[in-house]
Amino acid sequence: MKGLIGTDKYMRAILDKEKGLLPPGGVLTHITVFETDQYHKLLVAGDVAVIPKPDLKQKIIIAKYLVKTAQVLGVDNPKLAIISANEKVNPKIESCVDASIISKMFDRKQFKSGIADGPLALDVAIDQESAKIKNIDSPVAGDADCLLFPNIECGNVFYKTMTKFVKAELGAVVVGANAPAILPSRGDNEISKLYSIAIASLLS
Amino acid sequence: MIQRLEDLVTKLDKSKKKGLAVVCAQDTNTIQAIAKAAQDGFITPYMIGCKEEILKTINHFSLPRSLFEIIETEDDVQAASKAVELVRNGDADILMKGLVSSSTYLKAILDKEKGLLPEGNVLSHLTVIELPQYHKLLFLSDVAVIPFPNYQQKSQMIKYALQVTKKFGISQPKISLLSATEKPTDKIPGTLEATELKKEFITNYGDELIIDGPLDVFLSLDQESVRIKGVPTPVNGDADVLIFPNIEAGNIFYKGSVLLGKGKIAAMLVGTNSPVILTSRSDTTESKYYSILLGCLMAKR
Repeated sequence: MKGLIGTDKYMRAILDKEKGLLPPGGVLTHITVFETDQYHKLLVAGDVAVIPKPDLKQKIIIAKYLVKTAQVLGVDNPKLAIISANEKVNPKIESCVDASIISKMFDRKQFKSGIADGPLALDVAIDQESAKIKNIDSPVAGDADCLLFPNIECGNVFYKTMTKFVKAELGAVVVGANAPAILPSRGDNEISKLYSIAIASLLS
Repeated sequence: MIQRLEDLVTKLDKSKKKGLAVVCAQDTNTIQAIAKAAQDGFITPYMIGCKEEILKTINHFSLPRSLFEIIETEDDVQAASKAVELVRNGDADILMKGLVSSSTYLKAILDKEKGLLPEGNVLSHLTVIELPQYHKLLFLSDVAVIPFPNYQQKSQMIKYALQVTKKFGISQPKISLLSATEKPTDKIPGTLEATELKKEFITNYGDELIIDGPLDVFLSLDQESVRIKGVPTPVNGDADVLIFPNIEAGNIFYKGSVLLGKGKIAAMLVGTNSPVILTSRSDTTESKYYSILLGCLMAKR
């Protein structure tokens, strides 16, 4: 867990090739668990803080960590929404194409568990009414456990909107290393730091 | 000054009723908002499309027939071009989408000879959002039209936002060029562009606006975070305008704060000669009503 130290120094120790915690080929990513009374369950989301612009391979790894985190929180077969700006696959928009690929990989049961759909816009992912109005037939729509964001700008905007405007409680952890790492932000309150420790314990 | 969306109702000048040209007006999803704006004395609605279907929708909601002017056309394409023509000629002031596909609607607007977009103008989208947790209205661009705006498009988006905020009575809007962090880094290209945009606008428009970027959501909208982080910024947690780096980030902010943050919105296209309304099916009737009022505020006459 990070205390009163610069993020750079903390990360450098984790990433040290010989004495660090990241196995060769490992992908370090940040997972946040949100709780808000505006949604009927917890939301596990990533990456809002570590990988600026994940490529397809990194997104697949993030997807797996999101599903795994939802599972340790007690969801048997988590529903993953792969977020973009809308539901139609536009070949010109990379996030749409990546989302369709990952979604199909889950359909083909290439991963042990999880149900995925994407691209989905945020409203369709978490609001059944929006899914109905837009006529989106999806096993994930309106009931997502996990949100996979196309880039850090999106993830970060979501994270900060949730804390500032939705008054969500949260816990967060950095995964992908041999052990979970906690990277609290100065703005986090005490309860979110406690929740972060709890989630890290579940994942350890 | 218009501080809440509700203020549009009291501050708009009703002595100059605006003409609203609705494309394929048999839409059960928008007619209540149109009827309310007409009943409140803001607009005369020109309902364009299949007359029989339009009358059916009016009757379905038991609305007074006399509120509406109906203009019969043969199909969607004709309805769209007729509505655009009315606005072009000045017979109507605002264009609105009914039960027509976005592509047919946009095609009529973008028509080089008979459309509404002046040559060389960038078509973009602006949303006004009112959040119970924020102390004033927020103007967002672009959450719906340009997927990945380039430098020049972002520069236009800022200029459009200036025009709209001016109509709301904001003399020197605080503009935040949003990103995930306030530190420029080549890992996030939008952050570098933000510093360039900031420079350009301070040099050329310094007395009309206050601008900073890159900034994250906290530094843009929360003074407490500015204090904790100790980052000096003239926007200072008090932004009026958020310019998003891409449509995905804008869309997430917009949908997250409407759905989970109980936000209300009004929205329109910008860059056109006259206001154009493009509501989403899942918008509430109240938001559609406010979008029409926003169109009235931005209308030329």
